[in-house]
Amino acid sequence: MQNLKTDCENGVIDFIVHMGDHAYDLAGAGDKRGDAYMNVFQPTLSTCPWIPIIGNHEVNDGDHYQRYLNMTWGETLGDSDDEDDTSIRSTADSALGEFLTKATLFGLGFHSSVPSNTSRYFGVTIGSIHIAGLDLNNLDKGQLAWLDDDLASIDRKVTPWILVSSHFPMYHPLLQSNLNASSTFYLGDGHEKFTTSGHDFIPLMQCQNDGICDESVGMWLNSIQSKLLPLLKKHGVDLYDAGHVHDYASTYPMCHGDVCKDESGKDIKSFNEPKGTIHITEGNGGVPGVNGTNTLKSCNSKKKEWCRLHGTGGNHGRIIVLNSTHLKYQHVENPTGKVTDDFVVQQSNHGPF
Amino acid sequence: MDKAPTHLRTILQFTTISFWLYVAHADVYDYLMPTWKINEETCLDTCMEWEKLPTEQEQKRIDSTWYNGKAPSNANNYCAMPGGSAGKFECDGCTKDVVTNSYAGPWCYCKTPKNGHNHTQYCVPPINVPEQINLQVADVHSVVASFVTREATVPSNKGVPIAYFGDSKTNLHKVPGITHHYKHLSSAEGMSYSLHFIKFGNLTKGKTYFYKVQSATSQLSELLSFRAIDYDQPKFGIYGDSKSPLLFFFLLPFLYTSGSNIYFSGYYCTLLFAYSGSLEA
Repeated sequence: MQNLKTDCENGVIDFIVHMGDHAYDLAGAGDKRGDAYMNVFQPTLSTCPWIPIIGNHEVNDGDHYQRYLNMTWGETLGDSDDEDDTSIRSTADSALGEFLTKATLFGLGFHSSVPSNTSRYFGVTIGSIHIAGLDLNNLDKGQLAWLDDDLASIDRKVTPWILVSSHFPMYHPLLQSNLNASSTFYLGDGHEKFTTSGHDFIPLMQCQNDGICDESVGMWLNSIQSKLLPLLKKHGVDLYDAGHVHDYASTYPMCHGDVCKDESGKDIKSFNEPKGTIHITEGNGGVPGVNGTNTLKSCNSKKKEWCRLHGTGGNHGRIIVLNSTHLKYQHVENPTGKVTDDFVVQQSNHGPF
Repeated sequence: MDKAPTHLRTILQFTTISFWLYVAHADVYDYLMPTWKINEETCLDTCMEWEKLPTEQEQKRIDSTWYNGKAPSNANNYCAMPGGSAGKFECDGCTKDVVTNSYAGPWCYCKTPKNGHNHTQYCVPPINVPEQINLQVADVHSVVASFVTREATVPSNKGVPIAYFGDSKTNLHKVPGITHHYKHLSSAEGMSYSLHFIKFGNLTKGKTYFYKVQSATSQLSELLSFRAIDYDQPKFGIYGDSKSPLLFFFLLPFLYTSGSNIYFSGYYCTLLFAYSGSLEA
């Protein structure tokens, strides 16, 4: 985080996107762990604006979204069922004024060109890049409809680049190798380990007596992909970035579930004029037990032609929009600040794939 | 004969490096929180100075909880989360609530605990002090400053949080915000827990702004600053999974804080640099 703070102070970056799982057990010990996390975060976040995205630990750690939603703006579950609720107060002295002040004072959910009216998911345009943050803990119809509208509202001549981000990756080599594993454990309802990829890929659990059966990682992934990938294609989303799996992975541009092909059917393993979305996992911002061993290897194989690089160790990503046709991605080691992987995406024809 | 010392040296080097790697991987840093106080319901008097504990045995036990095996020189008797033990043995879903592991936040060594209580006790948070100050991007020209305060009772609806905000340290103007009373935590903590949101709009790209915040009843925060987003060439850090509030310190390898101050530690830097084999950072 000191790296990010320093980068922000030095103008290397202007803001931070945190893709969820902000801290373990945010609601633990009567929320005091969440307090500690946010206090520790203060030196960085009081000087460098951030965009928080929701992960599984903001949902599952005992208070079901409340801490996260309160942190991010204020309409909370369980907090608005009181007719005499005075929890939201403003300087306005009329109902319309109160509505307007809420709308303008709160953050991302109200400010996008298509307001989502929730901090679970939102969009924000920063000059030439639009960032849409999603809540894949529950990819409901309302969220999908909003995303479609949000992405459709972007004038690509003004804002050529689109980044869609959530906590959960859609393409990652470990997912592909564990499609038959239990999604319950993968998604975070079961315990995760800190020092590995984080999530136990264990066999599917037996169906319970009430007939409820565990879903496989593959089934969950299919469900998410079938809903989201068409939207990424329809709107020509350049990058999809996620966390959750505690390491780094990047793909080549993806088309129809595989690396994109040229007219002769040959794999296109470059970022020159992509015909599909590039998927990145940057999920080891500082998990407990993260060690200084940073590795980076090719994950490309006949079974995973789409897979480009897979690495371990505490790292973060850096996105720099150079201009309307060039965007740079950097993979940065936390302990040293070294850039260990970078690539430039060149796209001169932004729009549907 | 010549080989024995070489081997010995190699073994010593390996042992030393392993030890430092282990220490470096402790992840956590000493974190002093002077505004938090001892709980009067469990402690008859006050926190003892960290370096003046009653017995040699106790001193040794508590010293071992600090990152360097000793309290920082500025620790006084402040509540703290000592880095040698904070988050120790933590795991997802099986972490035990151990005070000296700072499981539930900062603690101190109570001089005279009430019956049935230990010397090591959790501290209680301050009233009317802005904490957890952060800036969230709202749009390209706006950020929302949010912060938390605790009050003894739910404050009147008439009060609003205020920021003193401007592009010069000496020319700050008032910006009002709104308060959200967080019922969930207020109930849990037996006091009012409020979140405050204040929008800073019409920002000029790349310009540095200064601000202080306070709730309707709190003291003022320190003077802070930020630079508005330069949207001509957007550039940002992106990552997920920082996890534990305490073990999160791995991302803060070079600093620890005391209240709102930041201190640099060459010691930890040295360890990290030694480990990484790089002096470039």
